[in-house]
Amino acid sequence: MSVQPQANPGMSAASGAGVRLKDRFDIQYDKPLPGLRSPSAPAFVADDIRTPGSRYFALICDPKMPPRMEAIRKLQLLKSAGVLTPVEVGAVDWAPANRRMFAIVCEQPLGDRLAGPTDNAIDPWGEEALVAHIVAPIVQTLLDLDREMLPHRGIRPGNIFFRDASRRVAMLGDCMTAPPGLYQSIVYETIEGALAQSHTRGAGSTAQDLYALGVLVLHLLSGKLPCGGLTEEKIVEDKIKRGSFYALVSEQRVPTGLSELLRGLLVDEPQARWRLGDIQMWLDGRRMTTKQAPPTIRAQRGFEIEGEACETARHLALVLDMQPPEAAGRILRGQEFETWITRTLGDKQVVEAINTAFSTRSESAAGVSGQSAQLVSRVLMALDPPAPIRFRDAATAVDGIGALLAVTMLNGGDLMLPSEILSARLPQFWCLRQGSAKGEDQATIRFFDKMLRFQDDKRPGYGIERVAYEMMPGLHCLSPFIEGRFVDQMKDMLPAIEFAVQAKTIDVSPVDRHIAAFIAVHETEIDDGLLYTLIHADPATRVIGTLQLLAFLQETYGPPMVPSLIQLFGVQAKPVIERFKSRYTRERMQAGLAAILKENSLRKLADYLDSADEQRKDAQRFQRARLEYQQMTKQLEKADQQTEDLNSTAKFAGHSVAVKIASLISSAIVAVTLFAMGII
Amino acid sequence: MGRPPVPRIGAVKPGAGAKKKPAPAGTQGQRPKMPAAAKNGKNATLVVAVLAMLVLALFERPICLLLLLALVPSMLAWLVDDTPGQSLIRTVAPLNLASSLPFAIKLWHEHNSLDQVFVFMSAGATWVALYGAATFGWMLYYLAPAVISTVVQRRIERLRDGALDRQKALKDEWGNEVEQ
Repeated sequence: MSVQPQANPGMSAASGAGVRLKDRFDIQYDKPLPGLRSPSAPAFVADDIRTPGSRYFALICDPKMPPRMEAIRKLQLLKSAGVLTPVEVGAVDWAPANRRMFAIVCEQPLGDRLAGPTDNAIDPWGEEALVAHIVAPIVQTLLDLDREMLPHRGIRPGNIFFRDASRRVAMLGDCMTAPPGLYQSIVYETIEGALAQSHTRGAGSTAQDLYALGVLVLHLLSGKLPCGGLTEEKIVEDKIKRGSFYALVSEQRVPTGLSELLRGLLVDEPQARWRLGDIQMWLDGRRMTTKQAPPTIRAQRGFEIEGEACETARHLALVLDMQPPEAAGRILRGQEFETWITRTLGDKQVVEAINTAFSTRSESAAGVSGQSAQLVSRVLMALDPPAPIRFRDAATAVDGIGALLAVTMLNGGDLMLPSEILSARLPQFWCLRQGSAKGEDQATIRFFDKMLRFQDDKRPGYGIERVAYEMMPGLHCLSPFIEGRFVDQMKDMLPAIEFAVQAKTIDVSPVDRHIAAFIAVHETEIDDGLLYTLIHADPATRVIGTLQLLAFLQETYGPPMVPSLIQLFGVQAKPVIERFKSRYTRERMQAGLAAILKENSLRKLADYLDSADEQRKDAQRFQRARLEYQQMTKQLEKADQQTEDLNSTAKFAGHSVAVKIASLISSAIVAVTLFAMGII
Repeated sequence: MGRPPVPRIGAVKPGAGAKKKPAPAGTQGQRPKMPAAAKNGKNATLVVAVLAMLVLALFERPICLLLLLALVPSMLAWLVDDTPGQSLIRTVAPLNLASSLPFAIKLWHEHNSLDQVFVFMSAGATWVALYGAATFGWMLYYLAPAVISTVVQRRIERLRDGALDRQKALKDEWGNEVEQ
């Protein structure tokens, strides 16, 4: 794919095998840097043309994984030395992939990685070095990130670098190229994170980073990944049954000096987990006491499902989730379950929540099985409120629904699942189950109510596409026409459409539902009415609506020249011109079209084809023409009537005329006679 | 919507252009009966004429004779005129009388005798003068409607052609939609 400098403002071709990003960085795609790559983003040398000799590299994001745009923006503002920070970002024409890719340019760390990306076995670290070179710098970085309310969600040995060659100051690696927590091992995730699908874990909070830090400490102390030999399911089950600390530490000997830290960080209840301030005090040498988490209510007799005795509500939720929805539904509706919940477990809050789950009306397009799945999902939330929303095959944190939607769209998955999660109002139910009256939950509920309205609205600019762009503000436009052009900003939209028209990817309407939704989210000045015209029954109105929309984009964002798009509209202008009723106006418009097309301005073309003045004149003249035609018809009827009456009227008039002429002539004869005879 | 009132042509009196009612069955080809008012008017004319002739016969027999002979076309007109306004009489009689006037004056002033009447009547020019004017009146009566009909018909055709041409031009520019 050749680079199109004119179609991509802000980017020009680099010399050699590379591409230039924003007139500053030459990204060399023939110079990979395997040591700096992220799991889904290979790294390449990036030369700063302003500062030759500087050490930068570019991460080229996987187009099938939405990057964390919010994190990128905050990191650019933060400029922390303790975390990989983007210097420049943007889409580039990536020749090896024959498409545009999102590139993130960062400064190369002076030190190497703490461990290889896939290395579970690493050299054990001593207690002091671990605290001084790893824990303390990371805590400092987390403090910086916490000020920006930005959880890193990627703390693991393979994603930690050293700021110096002597490996004395650790720095956090990439947290931008993929959804939060995507590449975290189950071991490094809290129970809630581990229960969610990897791409839908959500950003969460710093508490999850601190949990991962605790696991990291444990990992580095032993040099082995905790719970190394267990399956993921078993690790989660162990964490739920025994608590994370005991499940992870297991039989490992923990130094006394770090025991307190690990107990504080590996608490499963986020409110009881150590906060950054607690660790700072611990680092300063103050002795800390472990916060008391509310005790987990255990039933005296376990509820048995397929031989598994569940003593806690959370464990029961885990086991129920493993059952098919129909089977789980049968269990939930059984008398045994009700008895166990109300009498054996005796947790009033859980009982109340389950009652709410049962009383919440389930409506599903999938019928009874869909209703059953919704009921199971709500009961799971009632049993285990902090756990992610588990619905059919999906398990997503509330703040991971956007990623679920985006990844599903990017990979061509079935959108019914995320759509049904929203339709069933499961996020709202989850928020209500968190038991806090914080404004944040209310705001989240209102947000999801709005998303549901958007989803149910089938007009262009709305629908599930709108929901995706609302929930993932940095998501690039996923229209099949322009997805390969990686349009994540409005200024890139029109050049991408122009490119697609040029490449014959677009041959009819250049604005589809994705593009309309993307524009609706990013450009608030666009009136909904204009978007509705995109599906108008009248082809001319559709063309005009599309043209007006793109003309607005050209006026606002450029580029000044869109020859292919103009020609496309030139071809589609016929039904628009046909709207004019006067044949002469149509001929004049058609004759003048070529000159307008040459001007390469969508605005001028739109004004030309959609001239209100011209339309008004045409309509007025048409009305006058109709009136005149009617008058002519009446005139013809009158003529027919006159012809019909001609004989009688002519006879009458003729006789009258004859009488008058006779009178005149007679008078003249009399006068002449009298005069001639000398009488007068 | 009812049809618009039929406009009158030229200075034709109101009511003159009204459509004639079809003749009742069994009267086809018969002369239409004269309206009573017209018949009264015609009788009044006859009475006046007869009285005038009687007065003349008492005092001026030569002139009375002259007029009896000269006004034969007018008498014929009285007989055949069935128009409501006695248009034929009003056309023929004035001309007939006007052409008789020189002879009557001459008779009155010169030789007011029956012989002189016969002298006049024996001259062909007298008959030509007297009956020529009447004949002109008859011709005028019958030709005037035809002339007017021809003129008006041409005017109507011009208007019709103009309207048709304009309608064609409108349809050419605006299409069949302009008819609706």
